[in-house]
Amino acid sequence: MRRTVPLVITFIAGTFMIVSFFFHEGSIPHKLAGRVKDWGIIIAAFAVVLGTGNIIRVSLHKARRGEDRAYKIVLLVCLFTTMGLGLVLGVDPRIHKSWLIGTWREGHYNPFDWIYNQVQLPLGATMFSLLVFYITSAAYRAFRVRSLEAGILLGTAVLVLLGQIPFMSYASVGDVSMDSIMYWIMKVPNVAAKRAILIGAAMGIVSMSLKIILGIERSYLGGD
Amino acid sequence: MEWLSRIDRRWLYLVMAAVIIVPFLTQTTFKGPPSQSAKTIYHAIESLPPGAVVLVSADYDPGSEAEIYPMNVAIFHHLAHKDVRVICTQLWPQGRPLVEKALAKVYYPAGKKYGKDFVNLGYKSGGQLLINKMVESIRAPFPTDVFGTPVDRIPAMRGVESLKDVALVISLSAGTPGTKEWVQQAQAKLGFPLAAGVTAVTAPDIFPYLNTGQLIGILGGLRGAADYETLVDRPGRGVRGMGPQSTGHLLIVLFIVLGNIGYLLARRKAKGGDG
Amino acid sequence: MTVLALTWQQAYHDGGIWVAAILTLAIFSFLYRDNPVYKLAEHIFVGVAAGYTVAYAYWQVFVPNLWYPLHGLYRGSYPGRGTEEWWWTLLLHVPAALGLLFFLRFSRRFSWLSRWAIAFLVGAYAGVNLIAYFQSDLILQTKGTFVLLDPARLAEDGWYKVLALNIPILIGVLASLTYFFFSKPHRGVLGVSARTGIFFLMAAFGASFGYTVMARISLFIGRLQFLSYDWIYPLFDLKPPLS
Repeated sequence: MRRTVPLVITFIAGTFMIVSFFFHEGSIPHKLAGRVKDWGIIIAAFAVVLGTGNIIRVSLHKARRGEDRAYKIVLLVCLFTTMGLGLVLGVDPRIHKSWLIGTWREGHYNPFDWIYNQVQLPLGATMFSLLVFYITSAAYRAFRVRSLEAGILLGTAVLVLLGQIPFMSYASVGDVSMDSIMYWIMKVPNVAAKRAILIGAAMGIVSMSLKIILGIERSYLGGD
Repeated sequence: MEWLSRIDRRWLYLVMAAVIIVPFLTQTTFKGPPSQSAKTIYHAIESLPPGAVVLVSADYDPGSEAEIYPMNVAIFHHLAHKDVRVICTQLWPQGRPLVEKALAKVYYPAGKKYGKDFVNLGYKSGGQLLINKMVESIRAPFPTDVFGTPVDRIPAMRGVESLKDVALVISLSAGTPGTKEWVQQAQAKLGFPLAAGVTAVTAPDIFPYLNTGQLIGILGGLRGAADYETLVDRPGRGVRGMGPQSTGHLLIVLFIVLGNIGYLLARRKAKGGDG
Repeated sequence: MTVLALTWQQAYHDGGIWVAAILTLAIFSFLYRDNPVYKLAEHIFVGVAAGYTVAYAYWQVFVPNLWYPLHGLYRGSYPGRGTEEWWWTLLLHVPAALGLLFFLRFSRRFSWLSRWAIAFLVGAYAGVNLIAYFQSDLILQTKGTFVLLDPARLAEDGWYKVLALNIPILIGVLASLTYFFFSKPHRGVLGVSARTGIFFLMAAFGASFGYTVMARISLFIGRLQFLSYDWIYPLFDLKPPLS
């Protein structure tokens, strides 16, 4: 029961997807697979909610143990406020649920949208923009031409960086402009290596998927 | 020279900030010819027949807003100029407010009507499964638009049953699920023209698809946005950003060169010491 | 009343810009060093983002894709009883139940049941990925590598152009693939090929690095645009260069 049922479910769900590919549209296997996909979309949404559930559990656990308690409480308050507002008022920029009473009525700005624009957006965007400084520091300290390979890496990096500068299309080495050098790098050596990686990864994923469907690979079920 | 290698990282941060902030404040901009890839996307939109359906999949979030939102706006400017119907979908929940901001900025002022000229079907979970499903049906996973209006009652959706009825798909993507999944799950099956506007981090990885023709064009990062803004003659955040962007690139190149000069000098010294 | 409404709207908007600006600066404070203000902003971010996705999953997936059809079924309004669509709507209880099983992870006794839901998703994704990777990344990419053997393409685009672009790509793909081929030691012809492959791979990583730098700089510019155009310019009644 504990191991067989999940393996059977995986096998059925996976096989439907593969088999349907070989049938024309409107055929019964194709229709069944279509419904399985509909189900998958719904179950994936549950998985999204589960992610938040996990954050709540971990934060509660840490708060209880006294680890960063104040921060974890802030986290939970923000989480429940955002979630609560979104669930009650809807996620549209303007409220259009007519059964609401009090300050927030139909047509009013939705505070859920405010939280997105004034809290989530600046925090998310700034968090990632910090990386520019780390990469600057890395460029200065870590990128050394220690070997021919490192030289090629740095050389292409420099050429690509220069090629992306708009006025560099007017600069040239001999007859070749800087930006056409960059495009050549992107379209020839870059394509060749990335394609080799794509093909290699595809072989890995195809065989792994087959192993999962056939029940040979079971690590996703966890140990017991 | 010793102090050069022991300099506090915060000084480096400060130099980088200054190199970006100064041209930003002086509003220095640099112009260059748009890339071939941007031009291909431009011509693909330009040659759409009247009434054609374009699907814009806005799969990005605040973390990539700086790069993709300007692209989104520039592409909407172009689409709003044409007599085409636009359907927006999102594979990332955080993408919806951003695409709506772009619609509010471009589509409503252009006199276009929601539901008739464009519609936002909103976010759905599932990623690969969802795109795979859309090959056979858009209406099954998207029974309503974002506001809960049944799709059957939306004029913009008339005659659109699946991705087969879509003339062009534009994937504005910041990662997974995104352009790669669009190529694998839908384009490889149906062969429709697929244009990609992606973050600069993802761009190099999808160039193989451009080579095989699975993508018609790639707009990469802020430069891609600037290219498209130039093409539609609507300079915005992309073109404005090219000044600080360029000085930033030059500084990184300078740092790489300086760092290596220091390294080579130190190595020569060490060798000399040995011998 | 109008005045009050106006101030409320202003507070909603202008206050919001201030909140956004302060949070932006709070994150930037990390550049100096780790500090409580940054840590607070970080926790706010995680909390808000996690709460946000649940509301979206509810309103954009559960309500239209699960609740509307089931509601129609319970009320008997749609679809007609006994039709094919009616049966399928009835069967929507299966994904709903499987999805709910996920939450048994939090129970010690029944956590094994949550594997049923995981098994469904893993199976479905394995199925669609198997086909998609095979078709797109294996077949079409391999086909693209050997495009120089396609006489139609050679005639169409001009043989010189096709060969000049695709011969180096062909060499690069084969060489890079041999680098990933670990079943035999990289000696002799294989060694030369693998070493050539490394050069191609390094060039590609260099290109990726260049693009990554570009991305990071853009993100910082985006924040500058926000701080100045949305926050500082209006403070001094200046008109931002972008509206």
